[in-house]
Amino acid sequence: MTTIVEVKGLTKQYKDVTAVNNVSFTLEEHKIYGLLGRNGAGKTTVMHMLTAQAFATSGDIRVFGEHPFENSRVLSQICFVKESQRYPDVFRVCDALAVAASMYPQWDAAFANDLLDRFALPPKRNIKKLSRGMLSAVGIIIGLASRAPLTIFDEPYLGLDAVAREMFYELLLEDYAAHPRTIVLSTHLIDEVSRMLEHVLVIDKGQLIINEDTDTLRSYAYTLAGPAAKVEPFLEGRQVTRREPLGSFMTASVIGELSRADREKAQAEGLELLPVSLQQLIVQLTHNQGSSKEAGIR
Amino acid sequence: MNRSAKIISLHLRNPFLLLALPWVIVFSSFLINLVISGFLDEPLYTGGLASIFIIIFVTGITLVPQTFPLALGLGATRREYYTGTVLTGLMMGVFSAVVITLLGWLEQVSGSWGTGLHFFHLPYVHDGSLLEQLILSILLFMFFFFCGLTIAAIYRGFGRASLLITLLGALLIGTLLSFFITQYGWWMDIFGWFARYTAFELSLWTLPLSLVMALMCYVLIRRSVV
Repeated sequence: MTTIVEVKGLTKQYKDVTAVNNVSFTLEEHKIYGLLGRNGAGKTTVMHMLTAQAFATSGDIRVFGEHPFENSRVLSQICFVKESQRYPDVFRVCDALAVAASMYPQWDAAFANDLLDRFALPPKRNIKKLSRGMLSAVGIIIGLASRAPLTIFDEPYLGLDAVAREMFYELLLEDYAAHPRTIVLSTHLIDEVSRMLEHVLVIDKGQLIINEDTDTLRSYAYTLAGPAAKVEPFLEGRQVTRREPLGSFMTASVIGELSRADREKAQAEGLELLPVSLQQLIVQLTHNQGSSKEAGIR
Repeated sequence: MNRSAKIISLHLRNPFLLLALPWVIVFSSFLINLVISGFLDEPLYTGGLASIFIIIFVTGITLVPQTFPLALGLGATRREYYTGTVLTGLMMGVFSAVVITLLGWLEQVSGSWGTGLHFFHLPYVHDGSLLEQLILSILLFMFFFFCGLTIAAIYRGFGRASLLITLLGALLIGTLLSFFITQYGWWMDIFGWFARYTAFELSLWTLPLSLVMALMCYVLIRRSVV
């Protein structure tokens, strides 16, 4: 596996806020990453610094082995589709696509036209007059058709309905299979994208709290359900993130791997063991940052 | 294609705004003056041509906020953006200067359009040879373009408050200067200095000013964020 992004000790300090605090990670070629976290956690700031659109206060960034600032060799290989992208007032959909086509060497014009049809975007419509969902579709088309070796989607589907989002996921996977590249999806619709993600980075309050393969992450946590009297003793000495008593019944979420003996014991006691969805896990971890640190997940 | 050239085509995606609109305004002014001059017995001298320089000043201000976020969003470097933007301005300047000079020449050979209207060829300003007129127009055009671009770059680089402070500072310095000039009775000397030179020679003085602004814009845009 070739490393294409290397970030070391990245920090972004505004006057009185540390938006990104000492974040380090690497991204490998031809993988789909999820950059997850709550609003304002620092996801967008990280991506802005990765693409040299914002400056880091300290830390080192290498993309394709070089620093991205004023580096067209690097920047022409990154497509960063962001929710807040602004377009000139006079631009129509076709103008934005034409300019994007000129900037990305691997641009596929036929694919872009096909996507215009699929998302039912009127190419001659002024971008200012598009609905929120249509505006998101413009970004999605640019991101997909650019075929950039590093494609970053930052909340790409605001205002898109479930059908269009599903279409985006399918198109992304299809095109990724045909033209492998590194994709970073930043989102808070975690459940929807979790099946696509191979690796997950979670940022909370400017800090990277999870950097783990999705499969490994899934085995990190489980939910336990059963009579409270039997659940409680089982929880002793374990990292519990959530307790939900319901009468004499109880559901609890636990972090940490389960040994075979644990499994057998739970079964013998008649307790139900359920996997925790990625979304639930992340909600629990970012809801209560202290516990995630104790759990030692980094 | 060079990536700065792609920025030029980004600016010119809607050619009407940069290439046609200025002339729609200038020609409207020209036509109105032409009709008026037809009713007058004496020749009509008008400064309607100044509108093209006001337009380019405004264009310099609005170009950056309109296109900078998209250019950077699509992976252009700041240097590519700056070079492409300045070249776009220069192309507009050369194009406008050629049109002005040609129409000025036409104005002279047509006997002031037959109505005594002096619009594209004004006394003193366009006294020099055709080449001098052309250079003067280009230099003035670029001066106003960079004035606008500097305002946009300060706003991009430092934000609204800093732009206001800069403009207020410039106003204060101007006011103080004119106060002291009046106080010490230097106005006649200054006018005398200007009068010694032709309009073309004076236009050459904008060159160092434009270059300083060009450099400032580059430094500011290089440290701008989206």
